[in-house]
Amino acid sequence: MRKLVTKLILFFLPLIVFAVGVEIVVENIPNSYSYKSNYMTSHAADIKTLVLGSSNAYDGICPYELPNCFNLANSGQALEDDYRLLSMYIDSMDSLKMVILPLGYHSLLSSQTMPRRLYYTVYMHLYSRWPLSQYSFEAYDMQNALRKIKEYILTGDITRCDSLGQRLYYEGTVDENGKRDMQIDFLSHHDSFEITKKRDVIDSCANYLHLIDSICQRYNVRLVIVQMPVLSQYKAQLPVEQIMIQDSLLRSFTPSAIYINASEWPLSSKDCYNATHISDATSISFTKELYEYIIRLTH
Amino acid sequence: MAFNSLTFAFFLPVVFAVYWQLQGHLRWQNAFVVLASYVFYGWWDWRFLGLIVFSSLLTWGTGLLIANALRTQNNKLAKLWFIGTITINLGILCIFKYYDFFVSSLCTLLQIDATKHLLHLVLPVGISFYTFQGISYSVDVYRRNILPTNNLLTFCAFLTFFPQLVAGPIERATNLLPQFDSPRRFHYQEAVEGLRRILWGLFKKVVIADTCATFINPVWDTYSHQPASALILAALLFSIQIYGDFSGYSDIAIGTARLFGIKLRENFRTPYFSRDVAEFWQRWHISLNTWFVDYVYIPLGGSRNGKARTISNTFVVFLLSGLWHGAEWSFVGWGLYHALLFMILLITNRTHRYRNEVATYTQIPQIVLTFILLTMGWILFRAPDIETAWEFVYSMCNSTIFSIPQGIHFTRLVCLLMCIFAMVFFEWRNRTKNEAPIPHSFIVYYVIVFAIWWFSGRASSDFIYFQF
Repeated sequence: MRKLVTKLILFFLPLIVFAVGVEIVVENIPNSYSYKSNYMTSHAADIKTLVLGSSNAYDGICPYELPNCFNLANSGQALEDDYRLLSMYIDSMDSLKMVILPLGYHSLLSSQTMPRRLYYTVYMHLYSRWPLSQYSFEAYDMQNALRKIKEYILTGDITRCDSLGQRLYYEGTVDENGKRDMQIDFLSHHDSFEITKKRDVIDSCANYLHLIDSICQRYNVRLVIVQMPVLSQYKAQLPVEQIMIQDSLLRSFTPSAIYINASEWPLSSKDCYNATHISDATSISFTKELYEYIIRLTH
Repeated sequence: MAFNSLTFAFFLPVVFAVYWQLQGHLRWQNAFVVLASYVFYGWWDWRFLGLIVFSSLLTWGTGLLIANALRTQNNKLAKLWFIGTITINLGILCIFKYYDFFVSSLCTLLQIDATKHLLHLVLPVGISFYTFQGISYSVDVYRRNILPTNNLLTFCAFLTFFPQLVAGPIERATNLLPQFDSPRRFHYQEAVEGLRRILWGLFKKVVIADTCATFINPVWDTYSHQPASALILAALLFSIQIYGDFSGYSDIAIGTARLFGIKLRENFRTPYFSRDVAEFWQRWHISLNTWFVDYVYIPLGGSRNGKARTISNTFVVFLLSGLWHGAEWSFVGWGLYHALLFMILLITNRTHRYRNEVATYTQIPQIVLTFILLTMGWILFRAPDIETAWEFVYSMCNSTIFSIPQGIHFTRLVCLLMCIFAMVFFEWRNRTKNEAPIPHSFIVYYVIVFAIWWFSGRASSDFIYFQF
């Protein structure tokens, strides 16, 4: 047995040394998650407006148009992550007045996307690394880890967000003619769901919405739930029942929260990266109008 | 705790080390196996441990009672205990696995709302596997094929042995119980063979099956928007995925067991080198198929009562086999599809053409034809329902068959095809042997470990057969 153990140790030792080296290097490369985590640690007390949510909030809410705002949204950020982030930072956000939670039609289906759990675990410390899993270490996904190291060496920066947390560089999908693809069919198919088949996930998401709402009430912070603008052709392809259920669920959070359904905010394809993500330029005008609307509602 | 998880990578060495420290203390070794198996199983959901404990106690206890009644010539009482234990074991399986299926099917037939009649129970991992293993023990005791064990620890080790607990091979008491009853000594060569088998299993699961899944799942999610070429590619890759997934699991299970000095039955013998469907069923999920042959087909009369009876018995076995896989009509359809293919061979007396005979290069056309037939069957297996399977097959037959599928990562696909080629090459070369087909070389081991590491990433998923 000693012979086997010795051979195994000798076999695995170089691999372990390599893995530990990759882990240390990758974890020390700044990225959007570590940037946001560091920003929240050092600036939480100054934030008056906090933006949560997934990619459509990451792209679509311009923090420069809101008072002392930070965009803490991220791609694929589920409501569970939003709730955990808010719980983690709420005590240190002494100036916080408003939480904006933009939602898409996929949001009530978004249970936590497991691959991203790694980032929330390693860089934002939302989850424990124990029990050990593939979401505990960057080096587990060697392909991705080496890609990051390579990109960092070549470009010097792999952070995908600006100083206030909004996404940079997102271009969406481009077709073979170099034209931006709105992915209307793909996204509407992807985001459509039958209520009866997804009841558990919807209930779980609704529960996290309630938890976010109750934190905001407890800390006397105004919660603004925004149904984000989408292309009308996309919305037309979603099941009517799904739209109605989402709308009535979000409406049930009023009056403790403000609910703004901006899904029919006028959009053309040149305003978007794709059917559900408004462009950087459009996010400025949208956020400006959104803020003015909130002011009108609250006064 | 799945074999392809980091947790298992830590669990296995610890269990291995402690287990061999207990060498020479059989009772302690078996107790430790049971403890480790409970930890392994409880890692998924500790609530279902109660079910395994109950099933173990019931099967062990009734085994003793059956044997006792048989010893005193009280056959009626033995039969009563036997029927009792089978009914309870199957009853538990039916409630967890089939209740909702049958109730919703009945409600659909009667056109009444099923929602308030459904239980929505979570299916305990591996319930079909350990229930069938327990039933085989009871039947063997009742048939006097084996003597029941008096030792509860030995029995629990037999029923819950963690390498094969959640997805087989479905072991027989005649093979496994005596191994837990006798002292085990550490053998270096056995352990090395076990490790090589684990490595090969992980390669098939992580590199082949999980990478196939990254191509297949997006196509299935949006199949109505996909060209026929993409659907055909997804169908072919699913055949590879399910083989890599399930035979990979079996390889890891068999390899892990060998680390502990236990020899499990073979579950796969290069099934895709079969030249017809009858041969395929002698090589695919062998432990389940022999279970059905021994405990269903032969008691029904097997092939002894004429062709018509043989055909009906075959249909029953395939129907049950389909249903065993899942409470969905698509699985029933899959079973019946294979029954039909088998029936053609049965009628023409060609079910035993290739028994004990290894495939040759000249038979590759037959192998390819069989593979295509099996692939069509796997569409039913993969589809959520029969309607979707039909639409999928229908969409495969149109003019878009020659168009290049969009959104496919071609470099990744080429890498995958190379890995599949490597798997086929090694397995073809070693198709007569029951061992890991890779050469004994550290360089090969490093290449495989790196391939596993490279492909594992974040796409790793559960084993398909866990859901059964």
